[in-house]
Amino acid sequence: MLDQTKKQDLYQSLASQHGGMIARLAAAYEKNAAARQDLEQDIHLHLWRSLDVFAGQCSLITWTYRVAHNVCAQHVGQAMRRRPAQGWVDIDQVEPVDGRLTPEEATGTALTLERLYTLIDRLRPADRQVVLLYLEDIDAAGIAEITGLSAGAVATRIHRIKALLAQGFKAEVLA
Amino acid sequence: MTPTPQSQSPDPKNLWKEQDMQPQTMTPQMLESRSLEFEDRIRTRNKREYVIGSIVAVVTVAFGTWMLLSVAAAPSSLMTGIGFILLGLGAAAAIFQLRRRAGGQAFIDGSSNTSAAYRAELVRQRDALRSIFSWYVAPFLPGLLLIYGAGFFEPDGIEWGTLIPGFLTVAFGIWLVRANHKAADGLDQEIKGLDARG
Repeated sequence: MLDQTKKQDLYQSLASQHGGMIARLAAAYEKNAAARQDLEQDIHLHLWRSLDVFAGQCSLITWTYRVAHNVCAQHVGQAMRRRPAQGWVDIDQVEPVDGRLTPEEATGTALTLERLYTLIDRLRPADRQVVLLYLEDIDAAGIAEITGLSAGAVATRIHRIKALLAQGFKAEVLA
Repeated sequence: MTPTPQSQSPDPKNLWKEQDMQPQTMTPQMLESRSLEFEDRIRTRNKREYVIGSIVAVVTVAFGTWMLLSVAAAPSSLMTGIGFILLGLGAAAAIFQLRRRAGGQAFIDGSSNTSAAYRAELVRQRDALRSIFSWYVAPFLPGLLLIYGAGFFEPDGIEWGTLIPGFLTVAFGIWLVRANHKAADGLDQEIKGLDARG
């Protein structure tokens, strides 16, 4: 177990390096501003507490991402009980935008943050984690270590994400 | 905002990471204080639930005991008295199980990967919902059966005043179990999906 001074230094270093990621993650999981602030603080709280049991089980970065995503998954767990499993979509069910539909979509191409958030909100938690880690620029091996998904499963998802992001997208379940 | 042509679309990773967002800063002192508040909140909640549960159980058992001691020992009165005692004990057992099974993990760490942690939480919730009959409904059954069954031993015969609440209780129990099984099915589907996609 870390002594208090070392724990404080470690936390402050993690918070300064990954505070932005934590804020973006909270925003991706919670639309309501007040609840988002609480979620962000909860992630910091769990990260702080978790340092008591950190003993080099994995790299500190992997540990931080795991704590952050696990707190968010628990947060979304309540929403999940309200939303039936059919309410989520798999990443391979998201359809690229049809450029013929509207002038905005025809230019189609404006990858807005709003669209990104809408997509993320509809994804199953496992897919959501991969998208968010990809957007944070974590490589495939890192995503596999954080999520526990096989390298093949991560590669397939990243391939799909890249295609979607390149084309613009809309979250729509295919018939 | 003017739409950007596809060929000039910004890199989505940059778009994501360069959002105008101010991360919250928390000092170790603030975190330590919140951590203590969190533990206090859990302790207070547990205490409140145990106190309420104990009051319900004690009052019900006391009522049943009073019935046994003060009412003529007709079979129906004996059954009702014993039924209330069992109902009180059943309520205590159900509240204890509810805390044990439905309480969430207090603190999260990074020792498990996110898929394993998420799956374990889904499995825990699914199993609790699926087995709700055995740990939440069944403890009340002996008491309820005796209380409603006592109506059959009344000298004036069975009355609607006994049958209707009995039917309503059975209907509520069936609805409770089915609603929880339906929720468990949803979680089961999510678990199977996780396994298939992992």
